[in-house]
Order: sequence, then C-alpha cells, then structure tokens
Amino acid sequence: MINQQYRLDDSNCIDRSSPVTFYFDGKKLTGFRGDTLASALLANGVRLVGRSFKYHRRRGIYSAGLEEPNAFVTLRAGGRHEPNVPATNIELYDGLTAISQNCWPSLSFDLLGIIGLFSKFLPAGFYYKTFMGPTRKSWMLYEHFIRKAAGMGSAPDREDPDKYEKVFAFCDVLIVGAGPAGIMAALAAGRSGAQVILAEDDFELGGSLLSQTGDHISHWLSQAVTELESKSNIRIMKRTTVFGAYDSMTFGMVERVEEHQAKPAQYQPRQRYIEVNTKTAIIATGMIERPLVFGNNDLPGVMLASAARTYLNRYGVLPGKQVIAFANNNSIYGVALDLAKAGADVSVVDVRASIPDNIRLAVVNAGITLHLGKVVRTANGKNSVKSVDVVMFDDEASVSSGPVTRMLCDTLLLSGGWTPTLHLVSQRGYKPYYDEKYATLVAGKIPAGFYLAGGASMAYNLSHCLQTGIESARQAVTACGLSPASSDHKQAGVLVDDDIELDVKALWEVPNPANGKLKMKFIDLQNDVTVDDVNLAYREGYDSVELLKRYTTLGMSPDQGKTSNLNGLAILANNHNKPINEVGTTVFRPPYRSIPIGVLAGQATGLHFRPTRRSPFHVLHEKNRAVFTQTGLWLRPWYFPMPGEDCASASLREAESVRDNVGLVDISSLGKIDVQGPDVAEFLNRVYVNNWGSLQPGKGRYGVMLRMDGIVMDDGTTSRLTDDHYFMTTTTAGAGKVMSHLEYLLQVAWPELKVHVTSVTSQWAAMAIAGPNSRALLSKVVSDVDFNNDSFPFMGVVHGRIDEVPVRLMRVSFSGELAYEVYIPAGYGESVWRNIQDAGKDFDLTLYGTEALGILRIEKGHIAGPEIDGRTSLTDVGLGRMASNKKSFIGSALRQREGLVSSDRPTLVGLESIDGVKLRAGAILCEQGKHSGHGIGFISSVTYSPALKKHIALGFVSGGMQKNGQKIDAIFPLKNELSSVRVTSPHFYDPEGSRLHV
Amino acid sequence: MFERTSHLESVCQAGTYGISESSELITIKECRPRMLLQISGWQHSFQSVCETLQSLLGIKIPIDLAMANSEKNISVFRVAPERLWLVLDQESELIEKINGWRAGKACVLTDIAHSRTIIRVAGERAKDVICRALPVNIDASVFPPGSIVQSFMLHIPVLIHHLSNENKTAYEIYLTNDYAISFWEWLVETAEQFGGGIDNIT
Repeated sequence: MINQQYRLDDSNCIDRSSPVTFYFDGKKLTGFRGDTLASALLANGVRLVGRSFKYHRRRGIYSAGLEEPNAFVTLRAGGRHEPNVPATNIELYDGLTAISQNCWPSLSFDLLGIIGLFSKFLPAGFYYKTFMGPTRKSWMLYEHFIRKAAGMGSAPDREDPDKYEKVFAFCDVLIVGAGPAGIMAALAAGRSGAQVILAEDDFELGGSLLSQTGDHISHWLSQAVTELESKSNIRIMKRTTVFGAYDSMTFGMVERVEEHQAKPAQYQPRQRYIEVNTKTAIIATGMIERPLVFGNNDLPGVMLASAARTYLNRYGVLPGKQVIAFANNNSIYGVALDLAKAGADVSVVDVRASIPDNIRLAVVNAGITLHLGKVVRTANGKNSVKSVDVVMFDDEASVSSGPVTRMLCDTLLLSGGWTPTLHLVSQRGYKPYYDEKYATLVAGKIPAGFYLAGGASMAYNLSHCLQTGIESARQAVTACGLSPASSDHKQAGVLVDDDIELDVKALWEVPNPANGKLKMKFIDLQNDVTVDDVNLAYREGYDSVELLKRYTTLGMSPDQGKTSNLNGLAILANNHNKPINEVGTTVFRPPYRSIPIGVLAGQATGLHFRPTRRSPFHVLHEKNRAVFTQTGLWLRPWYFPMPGEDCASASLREAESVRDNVGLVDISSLGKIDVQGPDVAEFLNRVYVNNWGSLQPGKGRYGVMLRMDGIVMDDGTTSRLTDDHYFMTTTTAGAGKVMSHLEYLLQVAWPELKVHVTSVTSQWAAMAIAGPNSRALLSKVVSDVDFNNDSFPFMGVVHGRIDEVPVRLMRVSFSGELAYEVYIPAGYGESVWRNIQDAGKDFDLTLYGTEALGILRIEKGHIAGPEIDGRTSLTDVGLGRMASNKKSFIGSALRQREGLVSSDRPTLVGLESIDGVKLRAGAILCEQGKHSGHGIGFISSVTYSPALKKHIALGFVSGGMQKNGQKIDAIFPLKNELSSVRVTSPHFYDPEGSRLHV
Repeated sequence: MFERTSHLESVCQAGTYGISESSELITIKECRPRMLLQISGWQHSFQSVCETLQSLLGIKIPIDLAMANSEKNISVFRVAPERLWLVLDQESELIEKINGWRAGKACVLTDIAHSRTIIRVAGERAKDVICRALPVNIDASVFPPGSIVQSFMLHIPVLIHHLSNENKTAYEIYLTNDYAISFWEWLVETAEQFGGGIDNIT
C-alpha cells in the first residue's frame, strides 16, 4: 500500500476521519471519503492513469471535472463493469475497483504503445486511405486488429444486477449547476415561491467555491445551503447531470443515486433517468478552462491550472512539488499563489509581455518566478513531465524564437483562457459566437425560457456571478407569473469579491520554430487529434467545421470536445486565414456526458421491455402447461405439450384433434370494437369493401378494410346485435390500428355520422371451440340457445348463458371445421373456461395454441398477418370479388391504380412440396431453373399438413392461379436451400366448406 | 353464478414489501369490481342527456375533462367532450336506476366494467411512485383531489383519479385488465424503495 505522500494536512471537503481503501489496476491504495478517484490517485502519487485512444500514449489526470479527456477508467467488474468513466467524476467509496483502459498487457508496459511509432501512417482519416491494399478485401483483415488496438474500454458481457428507473419531474425553474450563480439563483427563485429544481453534477454544492479558500467563502456557502435545504419548494439534486435540452422545455437528467457505493442499497436504483418539464431554465453551468497547445502537451503531469487549484484546496492534494504554470491570462496567478502558499516551488510562464502591477507584486512576494513574454514550446519526459523548453514569444509576429531554456518540473499547469459551458443552449440549435474581447465563444441569442447566469454568461468574478444569479432568477420567476422576491446575495452572508479581470491573450497553438517542427501537439487529447490532423483535413478539403469534426473525430466521444473545441476551430480558422466567426462553430449534441444505456432503459427490460398483455385465461394456461409465444404485446399459448412432445408434435396432435373431434383455443387477443349508433350500417359500408346494408340483427359477416391507398389493412367479422349495435372483431395485430383508423374517420372525415366506437378487447374473454363435436359440447354447457342449423346457422350470432353468465356466441370458423366463438365478460372468463374444459372431458376436448391454429388456417387457405403484410391488395389475396361496385369505400379509388391492377402482380396461391421437404416462409419463388432477379413471387406461410400428410404453403405468384398445377422452384438463400413446389388452390382442405356448414 | 375472478389474483398477495422501517408507507390494493358504464352522445343532444342523468342520479355531471364528481358510491368522469364514465360501487342503490334507464337514441351505453382493473395507491409518497411512469404533473397544486387525467404509464393507457374525502393522499388507477399483471409487477417493484403494504381487495 502506498502512503498518500501528496496529501496535505488540511482541506475543507474531505472527511479525514473516514479513510477509504480502493484498488487501481489491482493495487491497493487509500483515500478519504469526499475524494474523487482522481484526487485519491494524485494523493498517492499515481500520475499514469491510462493510454490514449489511438496512439496508446501515456496519459495522466488532466482536469478535475467532467471535461476530463484523459483519465477514463473501467469501474467495477462483472455485471457492474462500466467503461469510460472519468476518474475525475468518480466519488471514492470503500472497496472501489478501477482499471486502466486501452493497454496490454499493462498500463506501464503497453505493447500496443508501438503504434505511436507508426503515427505517420495513422493521420486523420487514415482508414480512408491507408490499409486499403494489396487486395480489395484487405481492410476487412486490418480492421479487426485496428479496432482491437483502438477503443475506449470494453462493453460489459454480463447482465447488470442493478436496477435503473425513470422519473418524470416538473418545476417552474430548473437551475443547472450549483456553483455560486446557480445557488444564488435558486435562493432568489425559491424566495419567490417558485417550484425550483437545482441540479448539480457534483456530490457537493458550491462549484468553483469548493476550490477556493477563505472562511468567508465557506461561511457564505454554508449559510446558502442551509437556506436552500430549509425551503420545501426547492429540490436539491446532487450527483445529477442535466445532459440534454429538448423541445418544449424538456430536459434529460441522470441522477447517480447509488453510484457512490459498490452496490446499491436494497431497493434503490443505481441511477435514475429524470425527464424534467420546466417553465424556465437557468443555465449556470460555469466555464471550462482551455488548455494551451504545444509539443508533447499530453504528458502525464500536464494539467489544467483550475484542476490543480481544486485538488489543492478542495481535496488537500498537492499536484506537484516543482510546478510550472503556462498561461495567457490572469486566472493563473490565483492558482500559483495558492500552490506557493502550500509549499510548491512555482514558476509562471506567461505569453503576455506584461501583467498588472498588483498581481506582479503579489507573485514576486510569494517567491514565484515570472517568465513574461515566453511560451512553453515542448514538454519533456516519458512517464510524466520532467522539464519544459521555454522560449521567447513575439506576440505581434506570433513567433517563438531565441535560445531554449530548459526548466525542470514535475507538474505543468495550463491556462489558455475560459470557455463558458453552453452545451444545453447549443443543443437547442443556438450556436455561440466568438468574442474577441474575451477570446472565447459566448452565447448569442438563446432559446425562449432560458436564462444564463454565472460563468455561462461570461461573469468571471464572484460578485458578478451572484448578480447574474439574482437577475436570471428574477426574469425566470416573472416569466412563470410570479413576483420576484427582493433578493440580495448578502442575505446569505457577505462574500468578498476576488475582482480579477481575465485579460486573455489568445494563443491557439505555440508555433513551430522557424527551422523545425515540434513534437505532436494535441488539440483533442481524448481522440488523439493533433494540430497536424486539423491542418491535413483542411488541405484535403475537409475545411468546414462539421466536416473537420467528422474527418478528424475532433470533439467526439465521451468528453464531447469540452477542452478542445475552440482550439480546433481557431486552428482551422487560421488555415482559412479568416476570423473564427466566419468559419463557424459546431453544434453540441446531447448527451453532455456519457450515460449508461441501462439508465435509459430503466425498468423496461425483459418482459417489461414493453408491457405484456395477458388474456383472462392466462393463469389457466399456465396450469395447463402451455408454452407461450409473444404476438405483439400479448403472451399467447403457442402449444400445450404432452410429456415428450415438442412444438411440432404437440401442434400436429392438437390440429388433428380439432379435425377429428373438438378443440378449445383462446382468442381473447382479437381486437373487439363496440360500434353503436343509428348510422353504423352506413359507416361500415364506408370502411369495409363489402356491403353491410342488408345485414340483419343476429347475423355476422366477414369484412375486409383497405387503407386509403387501396392496400389491405385488416380483416375480421362484424355482427349486428341489435338495430343500432354492432360488434366488430379485428386481427390481434390490427386491433389498435383499426381502432385509431375508425376514430380518425369519425372525428375528422365523417363527423356527421352518429356512430360511437369503443374498444372492448379487454371487456370480453374469448374462446373458439372448433371441431365436429363443438356443437355437442356447447349444447351441454350453454343454456337459452338452440344450436340447430336453422336457429343458429353459419355466421349467426346469439346470446346465451353459461351457468348464469351471459355470453355471446358466434358461429364462425377459422379452422374450416364446425366452430363457435364464445365471448364472455372477462371477469368470468376463467370460470367459463374451466366449465367448458370439464364438460369437454366427455368429448376428449383438446386445448390448442397458435401453432395449431396456424396449421388449420393454412390448410383452409385463410389469410392472416403474413398475407396482410401492408403490400397486398384485395385482389392479391384472392378477395377481389368481395368488393362492392355499388358504393365507395375507403381505398376504393386507389385500389384501381395502375400498379395495383397490373396483371403480373403476385396473387395468392397454394403450394405443395413435391420433394417432401419442409418449406420456408420468405422463400423466393422462381420459374424452374430461372433463379435470377427477384423471382415471380414468395412464400408467406408454411406448415406440415396433418390432413394432407405433406408440406404445404401459402404464397404469392405472378399469374396466380393461372399457374395452377405448374411446378416452380422455392429458393431460400439464407440456408442455401432449393426445393420444388407445385402451384395449387390455396383451399387445400374441404374447399366446398361442407364441414363448417354441418 | 360463477365467481368473478381478478386478473391480479395470481400476483396480488396481501402483506408488506420493500423497506420495512419506512415512515412513509405506500399502500397498494386492487379495488373491488365496480359497475363501469360508458355513456356516449352527440354534440347537439348531449347536454340534455347530462341533465337527464343528473336528475336520475342526483349527482352533478362534470363539465370539464380534468375534474370528476364523486359522491358516496358513485363517481362521474367526463372522459371526452360527449362521453362519460359512470363508476358505481356494486352496493349502490343507483345501479337499479341505471339499469332501468332507457336512454333511447339520444346516446349509447357501453358496459366496460369487465375491461378495467382499478388499483389504488395511497400514502404521502404515492405521487412519487406514480410519477415514475406518468408524464403528467400530479402535484396537488395542479392536480387537487377530485382531478382526473387520462394518459399513459409504461405505454399502458390509464385514467388516474385523485381521490377526495380521503384521510391521506390516494389515487385510483384505471387500466385495461390485460395489462394488469405487468403493471402490478412494475408498481410493487417501484414502490419497494418507499416501502409499504399490499392490502386485500376491498
């Protein structure tokens, strides 16, 4: 175990009474509660944390927040393994395990580091121009190795044992970021009575205040947080990232509920996805410090200056003992002073030739060495930075020149200016623009309902931040129709202003010396994008910002270019020799940070991926050992196996029993629609292809609906119960679609029709009893119904009772046998099923599932989902003669269009296997021996027919029944199968219909 | 007469769930079956249908879609401009009146009592469970007792009624019965983090 040799004696935010043990690459280390993984690693002197994405270069901790481009680790193991988590954003907990990424066999000895030697062969877009030969397929070979060598961790290969959930939240004011401006805005909005959500990515409130010292700051923060926590209308959400801004003031947030523990507490989700609907949003997301770009600027030990201040003041970690700070603005001096005070040997290299006198005085008094008008040209070192080469810099000519001074160091801090964090604004399509004064991208027009505060609004010093917090809250609560309370930041205690002007001197890259070239100058550390890559992209014509991004990958991946975006744009603009605003800026897209897929899925996994529908008989099916299949959202019995049976043998037995005796099947999933009103007959005439005017009460009729474009939409039966009351059934798959279609027509197309439709799918449990003994069985259990042919003919509908339960009975048949459908109020479904099953023992009643149902309907030539697939016309499915010529109906005009009446359209036929092999649904049908092109049709449904003792199919063939008796070929390329089939009538079994009319 | 069975019979076991030491327990139960009658009419005549119903039942018919009117054993929901749901306890003396009512051609009646499962979620944190699937704000400030809303939870169509005259916050969720088990499993699992109990059907 390594001691925390870089830990200082005091700091505000870690709990020294709670030591924590953790493991990095298997090595046992210690930290404290309140640390991040990054701060604890630095405390232990761990500099090398990962290897880079492309060149496998050594990388260390670069920042202290979400902008981290380097220190990505894989957290935990097994099902809880999570790749690409920035160490700077991992809250330390006891037992935490993290491993470094993108190295083999180890972080310190990475054989893949050899790739760096071949970097000249791997420039931007290399995969478009190298590794392409010697043959056309060479890339396929290389790709495997290139993908293995590159990458950002690996996806977990085991099921995640933790749960995730989704929540909807609502508020008047969403405040993103709980730094000084966000806290002040929350106080002001909360005092006005607004419902406020204050979301903070960190596990502590305070933002940049946490990185500063001074009793006045901790006092102000403490007072403010106490007041926030006391207000019931303010919801404080720590560990919560607002990652996306969407339409209608909807924001996506992820709360890392139990992420700070190895295992979530019982019943708690690990993470929670929150969809927030707010009236207004205050973006108080602060600023991100920009790095400077020079040779070897990616060495471990090179770090943003603001990060060093955070590690020092918040976590009590000295980032280095011999520190050089390289900057182009005044913010570096606060860091330098803090580090010097903590005992570090500090030198500052400032691009600018002069700095304000008060700063110079303070710095010199602190023993800090100043190097003004100079730049760091190159960092030197292997595992971490050991020295830097410093030269004079001519600001006017932008030239670095003169003798090189090598300065020793163990840490190099960078401050290249500050960029406001405007991702959420940009996600709504509002691009920032470049402001010369601040040398950064600032917000231009912002979306309605959005307000900026703090650093996001370019407020840098504290008093300005607090004022923007108050002002943004005033505007937001006013927009919500509330009266702003009189607010002033001193209500929470006096906060002394640091009063610093940044005075940034833009420097996008340290220029190469006149007689040479610097080592690799990285712009985007996460994607290993260098200055040379951007220049190359420009030379090759990828000269717009959007093309540059895609060609070089600049700004992609988990860090989303948080530190690299502006430097990259500016270097591209330099290539163009145009101002940055003329070259343009890219749009940030959600998510702002990486989000586990698990949290987006929430509880929608397994059978809850979509809600599951179960029939009223479901429990009985389970007791009867049904094997279920999913049809849409429904769980339906597929087959009911006897011991030793598989699906094929069970379903064949079930189908034979129906043909020979009697079977019982659950058809509750059929769509059922109650249609009532004086104009129903007219309505049905308009939606169905056939005529409904003559249908008498007590009778039903088969009908087909077309879409507006003349394609078959759905089929089913509709029965007339009374003069104005009809009962429609649809297919299981078509139920929702038909219901919406009918509602649309009644509300939009024909509001004058007095018709109401109501889905009653769930009201009625439904079963079909089919087979020669179905009448005898039902006669035994149903009272008040005369089952003889005259009283209850085919397509008749009657009402009866089973026990005292009122039931609807329809004599219809999908199987081709004498059959009845029985509709029972759902709550009595189970009892009635039991009753019929008991009565059926005398008839050797067989339960059958959807597989047998399919066998029976294919034998009979009835169309179903595979034939009504959204491509077929009425004529295609052999029902063209059903269409009435005496009326208009939905689809009646467009079904006559040229393409739908073409004589060579494939139409429904039956197909018999000639060589006795199993046929395949989806097989392409071709003329014998002519296996090119698209063939002459396809097979839609297949089965082995127990009645015919052969493999049969339904399909569509050009020419249809004109090819009756012809042999054609069925080809199934996926299995490389070819079989010979004979075209026949689709009505394989009892074509006269004698069995269902008995 | 056969027994009417609940769709939740196989999963709804009375007892406790989740965090046991929680002080903000959430009680979940399936409500006993009720009479649920849908009355649909047409724009020109629906007002007179409502007036007839009002005098028949002695209860005010709500005029907007956001508020229910509930009295003793009956609730009336306006679920569409010309569509009402009458929800009556099985013991209600009004059932006979409804059954004896001849609406004629002024409106159509559809019995949907067997189509819905009604689940009651009660407790101070009940809202926090429901908001894990309901994309509608049901905070009491905008959804006071008596309010109803029709929406979707987990892709399932639901009607939610914020009950009034209760001694603690309570909602009833009406959903089609084929989704009942799926919804129940989600509900109990989600409520575990708050802790509570499942009551017998009443």
